[in-house]
Amino acid sequence: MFSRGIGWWDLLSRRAASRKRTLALDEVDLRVAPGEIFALLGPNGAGKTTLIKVLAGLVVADAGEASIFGHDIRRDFKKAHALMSLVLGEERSFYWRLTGRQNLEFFAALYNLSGRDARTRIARAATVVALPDLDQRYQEYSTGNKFRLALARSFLNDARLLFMDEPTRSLDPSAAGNLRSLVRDLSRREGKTVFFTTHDTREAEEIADRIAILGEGRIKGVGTLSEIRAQASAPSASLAEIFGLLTAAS
Amino acid sequence: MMIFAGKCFAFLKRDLLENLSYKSAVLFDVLSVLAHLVTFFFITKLIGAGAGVYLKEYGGSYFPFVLTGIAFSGFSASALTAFSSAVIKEQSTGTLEAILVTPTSPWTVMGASFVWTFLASLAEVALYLVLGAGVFHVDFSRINVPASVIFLLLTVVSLSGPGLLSAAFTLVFKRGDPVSYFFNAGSRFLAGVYFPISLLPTGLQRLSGCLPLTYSLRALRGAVMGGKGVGDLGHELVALLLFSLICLPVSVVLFNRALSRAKKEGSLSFV
Repeated sequence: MFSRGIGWWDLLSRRAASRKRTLALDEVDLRVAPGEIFALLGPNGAGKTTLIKVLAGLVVADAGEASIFGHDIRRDFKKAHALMSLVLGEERSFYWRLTGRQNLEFFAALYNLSGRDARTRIARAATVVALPDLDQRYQEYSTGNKFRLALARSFLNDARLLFMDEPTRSLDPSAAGNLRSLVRDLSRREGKTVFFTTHDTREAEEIADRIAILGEGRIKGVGTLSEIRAQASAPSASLAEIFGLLTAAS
Repeated sequence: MMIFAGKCFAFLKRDLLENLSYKSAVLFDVLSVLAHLVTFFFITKLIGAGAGVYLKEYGGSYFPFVLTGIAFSGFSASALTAFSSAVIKEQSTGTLEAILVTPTSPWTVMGASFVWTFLASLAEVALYLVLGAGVFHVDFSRINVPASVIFLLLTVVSLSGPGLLSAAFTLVFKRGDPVSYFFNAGSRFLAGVYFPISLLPTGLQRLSGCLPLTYSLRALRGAVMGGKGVGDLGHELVALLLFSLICLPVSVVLFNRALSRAKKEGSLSFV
């Protein structure tokens, strides 16, 4: 899936093989700097989730290369894996009848943490994401706190890179705003690199240092807002207008 | 090894906590076993001594025969479906991807999930035997405990192959798994759970010889009711070992292929 370029992340295409298949991603070539908040902006079905799953090792690409902090995600999978974490935007990634703490204890064990080490990491993660009550059942959490728990889980392995797949998808505008602030603060304070997907142009503009616009599996534009404006030859357009322009053109 | 043990403990704790969170589930599980036994107790009364002709090998009475059949076939069904159930559970809960981004392989997920299934199934077998002995006065005084334990473990190992095939099928096709249907529903009919195999037509008797449950039931009944040792059950021992040796490596290869295919298709978390 990934072909050319050598980079920090060099994300490329899923090629159709013998059977007639949909090309999910094609010639995706991106680099993200350490400590950066990077938004992958695209409409539904653009390939955002596929890209994040490829990078997280959940989907195997047909061709291409990608590396995380210099570690190839295929050849050096364990090292690359240890440096990243995936925050899923959906609520269904926890056990609903267990408490927040029991859920985190379970995932801490999967990160090979145990005893005092696990307890310390869980307490720290809950403090960092400002999760009020760890001893409540997951099913009783508000949607905002469910996301905080997902974020807390991503801190268990002390990952340097956080992948977030549409993190605010199911949140109301107020909760989404709070969590955007939280993600931005965490990235700055903890030095985390954040790579998140969204279809919300305001969200991308609000917290991302740089943005890539993905349409039909291809990168349509990448950079800061002013760089994207220049690429789209629309110096005074808003991100929403450029997004419409670039993705409609595809 | 310590890491794997730690993960097994985490899965066991999770499953225990989840099951205990359903307050009345355990009570209804016990009642269901009791209801099953009461039903067959009265069917035995209805059949009367007539069944004895066909059950000489098993002591002549139908109730102990069917009690052990139900108890051990339930155990083998759990062993058979444990791996695919582990995959389905994580897929339907939505946790499979969250687990697989941790340093935990699908093999560990299935192995660690099996601990709870194994212990719960073992507890159910014990419940059948205790209720059978305590309430219905079935005589298990001749039970050969070491042979029973060995054949229970062999049942698990021999069914791991079909179990992995079933999990592989679930990963790729999601529903309609024919492997567990054949080895589960098929076994209930063909392996001598409710009636002795000698009642079946010759062709079906031969087919029953292809099922591991046929041998494990015969061995477990021999050990539990007849007090037979491993040495007396050599034929069953060899059959189960052969089945394990042939089926398990093939299933491991096929499961790995199914996993690769699901990862390529991006359908790992699809239910």
